[in-house]
Parts: sequence; structure tokens; C-alpha cells
Amino acid sequence: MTQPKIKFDRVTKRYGPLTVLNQICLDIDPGELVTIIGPSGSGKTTVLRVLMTLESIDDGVIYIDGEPFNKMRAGGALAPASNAHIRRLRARIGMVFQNFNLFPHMSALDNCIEAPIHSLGLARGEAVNRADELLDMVGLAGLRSRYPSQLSGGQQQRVAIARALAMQPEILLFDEPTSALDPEMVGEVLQVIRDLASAHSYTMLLVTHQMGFAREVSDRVCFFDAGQFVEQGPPQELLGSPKNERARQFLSKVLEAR
Amino acid sequence: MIDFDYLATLDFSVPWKYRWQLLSGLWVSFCLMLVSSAAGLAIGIVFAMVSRTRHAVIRWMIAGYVEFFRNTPLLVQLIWLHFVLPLLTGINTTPLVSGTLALTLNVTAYFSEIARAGINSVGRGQWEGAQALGLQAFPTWVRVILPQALRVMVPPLAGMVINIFKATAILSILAIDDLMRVATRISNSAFKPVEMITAAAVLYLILGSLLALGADRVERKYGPRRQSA
Repeated sequence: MTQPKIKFDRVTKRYGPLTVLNQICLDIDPGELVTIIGPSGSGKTTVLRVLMTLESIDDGVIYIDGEPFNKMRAGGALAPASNAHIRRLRARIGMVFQNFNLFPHMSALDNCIEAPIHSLGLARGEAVNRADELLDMVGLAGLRSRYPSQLSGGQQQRVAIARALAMQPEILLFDEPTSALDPEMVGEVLQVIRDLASAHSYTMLLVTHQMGFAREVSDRVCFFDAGQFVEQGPPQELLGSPKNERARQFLSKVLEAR
Repeated sequence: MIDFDYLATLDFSVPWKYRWQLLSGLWVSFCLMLVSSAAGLAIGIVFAMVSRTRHAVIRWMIAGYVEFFRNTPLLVQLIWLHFVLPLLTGINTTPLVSGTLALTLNVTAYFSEIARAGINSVGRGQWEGAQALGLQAFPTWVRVILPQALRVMVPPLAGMVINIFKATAILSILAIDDLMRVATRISNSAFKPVEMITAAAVLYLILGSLLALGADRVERKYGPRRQSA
């Protein structure tokens, strides 16, 4: 049995009296693409956010490659993780946001070389070469000197994907990457994610409302509701004939709306 | 109603005679503005950055500083610093040092509020984007947050600098040879107060207008961009 790339072990997150993640458990294998679906406000985005350390967790342990992430091993027990420990493991994770979060005062190229230079310590020339390759890969080779405000939403999100890839992560998190896009731009972003899934070995965790896309690219789909993974399985199975009542209701609503 | 007979008695050859002294006073005023603006802006930005700390004590200290200096008159701060502080501490300062210090402390409070508003205008997504890329605190501030905050800060900063220039006139009470002090001193000895104060006003107006013009240019070039495309 291979070691899971990511493991959530009874992870709990509360906002005041509200429990957003209720002892969630999830194992993701290396190279696997797992999609999380579920109603708005159910906390599925929080799953990604705690993994990216944008939110702290109240209880439980997250493991990356078998190493505790939010904790660290000290003797036989687990102690709170040091900043250096978190930084070291966090470098394996890249994230693509719903609202892109590009730096508006930097060109597409500068967005993609900023962190490699100031966080990985790459020489500028090398960072530029790599960024150019990545911008080429996402189909934006000619637009490297454009600022985010001069790009369409779909182009901005593709820059954001290139920017995340420039840090050479092993794990990629996509938080509703097409939700802020005009309908005609959804396709170009999905195509980039599709290419990443088929041609590379990234472990990917995707939160989306695009059920058709989830069915097509996912190795596994998880239905998340009320702070827990309610049901999970192969996409055909979960999206086709869910066993859980709430999953069935959710999917019938979503599919009706299309 | 204008008293033209009185107007005819005015003798503007007096300020002209002392033009170099007036200009050197203007230069002192300008330098006071420059020094206190530069120092105040730098310290103000640092205060605004530090006041994002989790430590409530530090936040309260900075908030207290800002409120104190914004809610008491500059004139009182000036006199207190120059006359009362030496009595309490035994440290004597020259008028120029007291004046520059008081003005800087005062404008730092305003600058830190401007900087705070600028920093707050940068959305949470920018912080999260930087964190997701593994950027540490220093590059996040210097490369991502502050460049965006500064753009937003340009219009209020420009207005503030002109206010500081005008506020330097208050320092004349400490016998610093700024424009206001030079003008009053000469008017006392030459018995030509109307001519001297008018000349000072004209000089303040000229440099103040130039500053406003410069501020406008800076704003156009570096200020918040109008939404395009």
C-alpha cells in the first residue's frame, strides 16, 4: 500500500460556535485527482484553506507524505509545528483561487517570477525562463508583459495557474477556479487543468460546481455537506447513482439547473 | 470699501530690500516640511505595519500616540516639547531641534493613519496569494502589499504635505528663522508689518501652489488607476 500524499485525520475547524469541519478524514494518493462537490457554505473550500494553512485548525492532524503538517514529531508525541516546519511542507502545495489573487501591480511574467526569486531564491534569468515555459504551456506566451487588468478573466486565471506551478509544487489545490469567470472563459481554464491532470503527476484537489468536468477528470469525487465527507467514490458512481440522500438531492438540483 | 489713501502709503521697497532674507526663510520652511514629511512618512508606515500585530499592548500604544498627537494643538505640543520637557528631563534642545521634532511627531500620527487606510485597502486575497506562494513577511510587505497601499495613499499624502508646509509657520514662535519668523522680525525693526506679512503670504502662496501642482502630477502618474479594460 502506498503512503497517501495527503491525509486528513479527524480534522476539526470551528468559527465560534459553528463547526465548519467536523472531524474530517480523507486520504489522497500521490497523483490522484480528487474533486470535492457540495452545497455552497458547506465548508468544502475550508478543506483547501486549512491545507494551504490560510486557516488554522482546532483539532486533528494533517499529514503530507506521511509527515504531520500542522504538528511535528517531538520524541514520541506530536508538538505544535514550528514556522520553519510549516514553511518546508507548505512549499509542496500550490493553490489557485476563485478570484485569482494575482498581484495587480505586476505583469503576468513578474507575477510568475516573484515568489521563485524571493522565496525559492532562484536567479532572475532562471526564474524568467521557467515562467516563460509555463506561460507558454497555459497558452499565454505572447502576453507576458500584460498587467492583470489588461487580461480577461480566463487569461488571469491561467496566469494564476502558471504562477502556482512556478513554485514547483507537488500538490495543487483549485478553489472553484472557474466560478468567477464569464461562461465563455470557463472552457479555456478547464482545458489547462485537464492538461495538467493528464500530462503531469501532480496530486490535485479540486473544489468545483462543474459536474460534467468533475465526472470527466476526477479519479474520485467526494460529496461534502455540513462539515463532513458524506459520500465518496468513482465519478460515474457518485455522480450517477449516489447512495446518500443529501447527495442525491444536491445532484438532482444541480443537474436540473443546467 | 478700500482706503486708497492708505494703500498709496504702502512701501514694497522694504520687503524687496530684504528679499534674500525672506528667501532664506522660505528655504528653512521648505526644509522643515521636507524633513518632517520624510521622517513622518517613514515612521508612519512602520507604525501602520506594526499596528497589525496580534499584541494588543503594542496596538494600544500606537493608537494612543496617534490620538494624542491628532487631538491636541501643534502649538501646545511645540511649547511643551521645547519648554516643559527640558524641565522634566534636563535635556535641553535648540529651537530648531524641538521644532523639527514636534512637527515630525505630529505629522507621524497623521501619516500612520493614512498608511493604515492604504494598507487596509489591499484585499485579503493579496495576503493569501502571497502566503500560498510561500512569500515570507518581508517580501510580502515590500513587494506585494506596500506598492499597492502607496498608490492609494498618494492623494491624501499629497494634501498632507501641503498642510505641513503651512504648519511650519507655527514654528516661528520658537525663533527658528523660517519665513514667518523672518517676516515678523523685519517688520518689527522696519515698522512695515503690512508690507512684510503680505510679502510672506505671497511667497507661501507661490511655493504652496507649486507643491499643489507637483502633488497633482504625482497623483496623475502614481495615484490609484482609473478602472481600465
